Amino acid sequence: MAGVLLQVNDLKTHFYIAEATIKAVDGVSFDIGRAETVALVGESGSGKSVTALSIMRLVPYSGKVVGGQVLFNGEDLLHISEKMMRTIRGRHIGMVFQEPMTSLNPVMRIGTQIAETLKVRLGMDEKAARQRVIELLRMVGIRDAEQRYRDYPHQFSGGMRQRGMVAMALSCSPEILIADEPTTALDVTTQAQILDMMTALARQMGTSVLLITHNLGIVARYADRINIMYGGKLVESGTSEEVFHHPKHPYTLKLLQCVPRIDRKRGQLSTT
Amino acid sequence: MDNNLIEIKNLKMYFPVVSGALLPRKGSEIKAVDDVSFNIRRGETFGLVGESGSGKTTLGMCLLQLYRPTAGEVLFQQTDLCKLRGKELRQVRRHIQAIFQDPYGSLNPRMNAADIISEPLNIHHLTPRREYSKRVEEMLSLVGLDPAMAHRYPHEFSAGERQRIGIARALTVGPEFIVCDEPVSSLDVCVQAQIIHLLEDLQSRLNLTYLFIAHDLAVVGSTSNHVAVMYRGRLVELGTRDHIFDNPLHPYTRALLSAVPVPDPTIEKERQRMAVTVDVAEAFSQPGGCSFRSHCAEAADTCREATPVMEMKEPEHWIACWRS
Repeated sequence: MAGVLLQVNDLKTHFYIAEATIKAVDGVSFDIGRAETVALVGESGSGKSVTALSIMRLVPYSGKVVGGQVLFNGEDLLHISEKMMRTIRGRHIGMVFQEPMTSLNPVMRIGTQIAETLKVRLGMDEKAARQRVIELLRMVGIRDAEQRYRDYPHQFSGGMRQRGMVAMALSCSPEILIADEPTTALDVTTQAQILDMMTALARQMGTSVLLITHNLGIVARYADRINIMYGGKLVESGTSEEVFHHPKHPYTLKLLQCVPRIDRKRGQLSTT
Repeated sequence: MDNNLIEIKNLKMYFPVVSGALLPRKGSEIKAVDDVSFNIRRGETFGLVGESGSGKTTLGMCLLQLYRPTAGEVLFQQTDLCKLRGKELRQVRRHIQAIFQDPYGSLNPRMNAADIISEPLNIHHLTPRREYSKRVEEMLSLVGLDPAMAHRYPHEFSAGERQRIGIARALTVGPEFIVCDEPVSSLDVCVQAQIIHLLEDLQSRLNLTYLFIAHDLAVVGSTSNHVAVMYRGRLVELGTRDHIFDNPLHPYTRALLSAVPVPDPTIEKERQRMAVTVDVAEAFSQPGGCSFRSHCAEAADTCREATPVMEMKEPEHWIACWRS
């Protein structure tokens, strides 16, 4: 495909704990096109977050990417220098994590944190960065952005912190946004607002989104294509319609039957 | 009606806001539960939904008398639990048990499964000690665990198995009513479905009544007979499962339901979504009136003047809204 932006080929990430080798990601291949939203779905421990960390080369110390390719614009991110990688992170691939409180620096003002990215990555001066940050905060739906610029993360509510994270991730207009369970800790109404805002901004900027979630409802609402993960492997891939309406793998089928839905009544949940 | 196992009347739970470290002063109050009334019928699952901070857990704690309510009544089989103390209260507690969300935090890591499950027996002096192990075995097989696992510790179990132990502990003393506070929220979907099935199965076998507290509307919709929607300490809508999910009347319920995505891309494409807008001026205006008014598209002057009261709109369907 001509429009492929990121291509992951046979990615393998193993963890070495005590004597054991844990194959967290065991031969995963998928791709993301330009301005496309691709979902990576799985239950806890299926390896979806480790896949994201492997793409960003942020796998923790006990783990190692042992094989495969991560081709970004045709270049293998696994084989470039750490210095090069640092120019990719944030600038070309933005990331939003589940728990904004642990990903934001608690002793640094929100505005300063986002401005730092702009100054380092895009070489903006103080004044320009500040202007851009206020603009970004407005774009992600934070009211009174000028005042809020000076707030610390603890002064933000959970939803606002996640908005701040989205502002930071999109600050350099990256080509890809990796969103790892971006709204899992939030209430449903906030969740809907943030995902609507995030996908709308991504569309506006022409940014592709890799959406990592366990929530099949979110996937159905926002994703163009879906990859289902189980035990470190992809068990099924396809367009939203294919996967939801004609699931082929028994695991996908089981997952779809287990999900409680607001349009299904008491006693209609299946466990088989 | 005879059929009601639990009747809650005008329940209020206020927490004082204490300021000042040296000379503590009581300031304002946080109205965690504010004038809530509803009934739970024998043998049913009553679902209570709300977002975080809506007061649903506090309400559950009031039912269990783990918080002593500021005002109001909690009638269990016509007895007001709020008036009971000491030994009398302990006797009633045998019939009212609880299952909690976090299967890690709610089991003592230093007690094995057998100790955890038999502790309520010890507290209520129901069975002679020599019969404990038999009772533990019974309970473990009732919740679908191997009785041979009785001597394992919580860390040796998976999250789903731990939740089963929590359920077994609640059932040992033979309760009639169980407060299930977010019982499946921390579980993966397939395990979630198994636990929901187990709860349904136990309900029909043991004739149990549940108060099912959850933030996940889909979970509540697939488990409950009656559903109450809570917002900032008050009930905004109450009805049968079908009333709430198929014909929601309160603007908040409608906003909540439209925010929940349905796992079907075709349905999602056609769904009309309600945008929740915030009227900032309204949010910081005078207290009183309807607490949802700053987020409500239909808010009018009447909503600012007085707090809406629950009104019956059709049989078994109540809402608290001036606008519908």
